[in-house]
Amino acid sequence: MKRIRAERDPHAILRWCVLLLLSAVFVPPALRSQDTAGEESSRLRQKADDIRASAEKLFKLRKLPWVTDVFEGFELARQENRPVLLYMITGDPLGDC
Amino acid sequence: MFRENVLTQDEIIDRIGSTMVPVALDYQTIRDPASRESRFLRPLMKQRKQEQGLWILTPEGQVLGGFAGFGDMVGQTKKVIEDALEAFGPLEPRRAKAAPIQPYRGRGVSPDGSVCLAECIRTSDDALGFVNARSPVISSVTLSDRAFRAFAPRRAVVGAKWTLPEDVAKQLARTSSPMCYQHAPQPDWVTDVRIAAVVRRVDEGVARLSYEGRIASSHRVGRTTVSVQETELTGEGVYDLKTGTMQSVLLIGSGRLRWPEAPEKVVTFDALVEWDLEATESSSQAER
Repeated sequence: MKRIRAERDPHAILRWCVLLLLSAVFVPPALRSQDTAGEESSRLRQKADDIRASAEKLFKLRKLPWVTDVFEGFELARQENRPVLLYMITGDPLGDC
Repeated sequence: MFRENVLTQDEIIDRIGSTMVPVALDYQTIRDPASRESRFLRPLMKQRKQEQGLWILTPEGQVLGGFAGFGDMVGQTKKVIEDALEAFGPLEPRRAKAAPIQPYRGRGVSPDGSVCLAECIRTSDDALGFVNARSPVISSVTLSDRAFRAFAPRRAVVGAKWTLPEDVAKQLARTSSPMCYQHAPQPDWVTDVRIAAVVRRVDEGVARLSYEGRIASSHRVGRTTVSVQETELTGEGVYDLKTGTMQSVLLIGSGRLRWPEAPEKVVTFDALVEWDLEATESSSQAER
């Protein structure tokens, strides 16, 4: 088919070559840019998962039913007749570290 | 240190939760002798030579045990707990439910419009061993509605660029060091900061944003520089054009810390800053 077209139109091959060249120059960078952005996003998310997982153990203390009012804590202990565990550090004991 | 070493142990957490009423208190509260807490606790604390740390008391205030040391923290704490429980006597298992702590950490918008970015900074334990610190550390930074808008584009068109105001970018000071508690960087430690943003893509009413930047800080005590540190940040955000609101922010940092007194000990670390409008509570706590 192409040979027949080329015989009919001597510029057909040249036009195809120009088209191929243009697409080689302009299309891949656009596609590449999207691919790169996707890869970068995926890399960031993977790294985030990794860092977050390393801190998971620090949230274990939040499983406890902490009371942050010392008077309320002793009152509860009195009502339930059980000991108080008082955890006291400088700063927010349950928040940032 | 106690939290990182001891309150990360399932066995200890389960034992405390099923037997005692756990009370958490900022030690600063009782440094003021006039505070209610101080007037209540100080007389009880005379029973034992200890300040901060773990205390176990009867409801009437009799001290059953305590711990605030180093060494085998886990082993010693277990012993303190068991000895105290034995001294107290038999107990019915307790089944109280935990209330959410920092419910907006890394997720949603709080009722006052502020947003709490979740932060995590990690290095290897070995890297900080010689200063007796552990890794990772978790922190958070609460930004007002106005401050958080700095992460959003003014014009949501591809290629639009802007820079976060310095006072907002400085709020991310914690990402410049893996150190914790009193050694954790504060905004006024920041010596240099720049976080630039660009609209990378706009699809179906959603703008994809990229962030790049650097934050450097210095820990000084008097005239002495204790440490200098810096982090390169890169990240992304999602902005909803229809509602004009941010949907998520994610920043990853790669940093280095140096102690001028021990220049051979360079500590490398990773940092994470994240927030998601729609994240579930569980993912913002234990998993986020």
